[in-house]
Amino acid sequence: MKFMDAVIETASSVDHKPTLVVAPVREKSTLSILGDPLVINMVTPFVIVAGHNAKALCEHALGLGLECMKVNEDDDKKIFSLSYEMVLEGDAQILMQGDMANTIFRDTALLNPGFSDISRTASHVFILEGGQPRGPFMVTDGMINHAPSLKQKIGILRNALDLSRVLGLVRPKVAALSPIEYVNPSIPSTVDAAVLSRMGDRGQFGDAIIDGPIDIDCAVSPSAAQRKGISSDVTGMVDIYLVPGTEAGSSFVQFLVLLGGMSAAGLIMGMKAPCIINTPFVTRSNKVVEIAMAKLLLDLG
Amino acid sequence: MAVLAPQEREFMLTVKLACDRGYIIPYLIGRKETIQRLSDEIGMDISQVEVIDIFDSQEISDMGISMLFGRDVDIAIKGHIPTAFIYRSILKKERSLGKKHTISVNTLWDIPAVDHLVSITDTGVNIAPDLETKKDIVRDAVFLMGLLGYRDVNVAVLSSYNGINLEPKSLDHARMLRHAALGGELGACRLIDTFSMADILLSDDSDPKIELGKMPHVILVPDLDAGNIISKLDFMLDVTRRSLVLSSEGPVIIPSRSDVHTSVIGEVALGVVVSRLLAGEISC
Repeated sequence: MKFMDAVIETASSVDHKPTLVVAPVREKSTLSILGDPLVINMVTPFVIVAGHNAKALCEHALGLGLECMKVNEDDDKKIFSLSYEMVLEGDAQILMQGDMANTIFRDTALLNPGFSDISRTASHVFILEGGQPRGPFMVTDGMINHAPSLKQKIGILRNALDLSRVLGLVRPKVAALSPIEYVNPSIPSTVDAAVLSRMGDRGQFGDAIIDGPIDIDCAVSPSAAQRKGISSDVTGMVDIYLVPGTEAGSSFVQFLVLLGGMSAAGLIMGMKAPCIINTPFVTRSNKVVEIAMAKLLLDLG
Repeated sequence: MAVLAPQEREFMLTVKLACDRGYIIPYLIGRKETIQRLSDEIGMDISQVEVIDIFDSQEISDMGISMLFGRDVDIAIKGHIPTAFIYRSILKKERSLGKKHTISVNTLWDIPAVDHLVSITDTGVNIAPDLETKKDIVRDAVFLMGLLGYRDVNVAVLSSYNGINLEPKSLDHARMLRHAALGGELGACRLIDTFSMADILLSDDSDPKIELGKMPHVILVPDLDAGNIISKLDFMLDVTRRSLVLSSEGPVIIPSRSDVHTSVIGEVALGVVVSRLLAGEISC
């Protein structure tokens, strides 16, 4: 995991430690991720614990060197609200989902107008590395926007480009994926991809190369592109795969992890703070990478 | 085998190899001049082969598919012609005969660590299939897998719903398809009750392991965007891909234009096997 290790190293080398707030914490295993010396070296974790063993969890957290707050409350939604209020008040800079249902995160933070950044689109970005496909590359948005409009795709791409820049990618190459490499008005993703590509040509995304519509074979394989008569500056060197929607994106990422042995880490951008969520196929050790990416977004973004 | 528009060198190499190996007797449909030139170039003797000289792409496609439905041939294969023409020809025939209402592309994956083939469907025809279309697509895939000898066919209906996002239409479709399966509407299959590959393949513990033994036989993708990208992940993963449309009168092989002849020959072989199975000449 050369690239992911480098991300952690870069994030650790920045002295300033933002506060990462996590709520609600109900599991010891969550504390042990946050108590990892790599994490403590990058951020100041602040955990909000609840439940019948809150006292024990808090003692454990303090023992690991974490800041801890104990609340006498059972409602996950209310406990989680405390964490995003800390972000809104400037007491925390990174928001991390605790041990609770994804829908609570969605309803309380993602869909909350007070927590969204109206000038941006909330989107999720994965970074993948290792296994057979090697990488590293990003895939976005595989988690939030099912059928994004062109306007949302512009926002999704801007988020990914912001992340790529703080991760040190120079002149990132973007494949705006579609089922075919021609514009076909019956397939909306081909039209959007063509527009994004043209915007890229006109410098509307800054220093990046965007090509689309391009299908996955032409994006990955120079010989496939040659067979189809496509000449593209991104073929075989894609840094960011912009997928048409989550239906394509989520399975794309999952197949790469489950069958390709790739390692995934990701986060949500475009809100008042970078958000780290629970994803079943992101390993515990890769949570550290997610925290590192969130920190870099704050420091350099 | 009806060969639709063998007007490109790499594809003609497939036809030659399939003939040399004795898989097929070809009927070459397309621009005769181009076909003759290409066969000369690659050293294929077509003096004994029937060549049907047609210029227009839709007419080429209609001719080949008519031959399949007229049982003049057992298989058809797409050459250098946009796929849409072929789908149109098949649908016209199916609907005029009152047979299939939906056609779909089954992409079969051979994954080394999995002991059965996996059909990803629909990877080519329906851009945003509705519920009824999805039922047809599942039935088609279940029939194909049954034909290939699989019993207890497991079907995964994918949806990107994860709780972080709002419920997509695919989730609603997945729920409705489960009802349809329980009602016996989808053929001899069992629907898996989770919607993502991660939920299907990862063990349910604090340190999840990948259990490839749980790989479904059929994976129904939510839409064409997803199907196309996923089915062609053989460009990144160690899997072998073969795609076909199962018309009611036989298989139509749909190679990708980026495929080389050493891979397309495998699709011809699959088509031959499927047509023999359909005819009841062999069984799995």
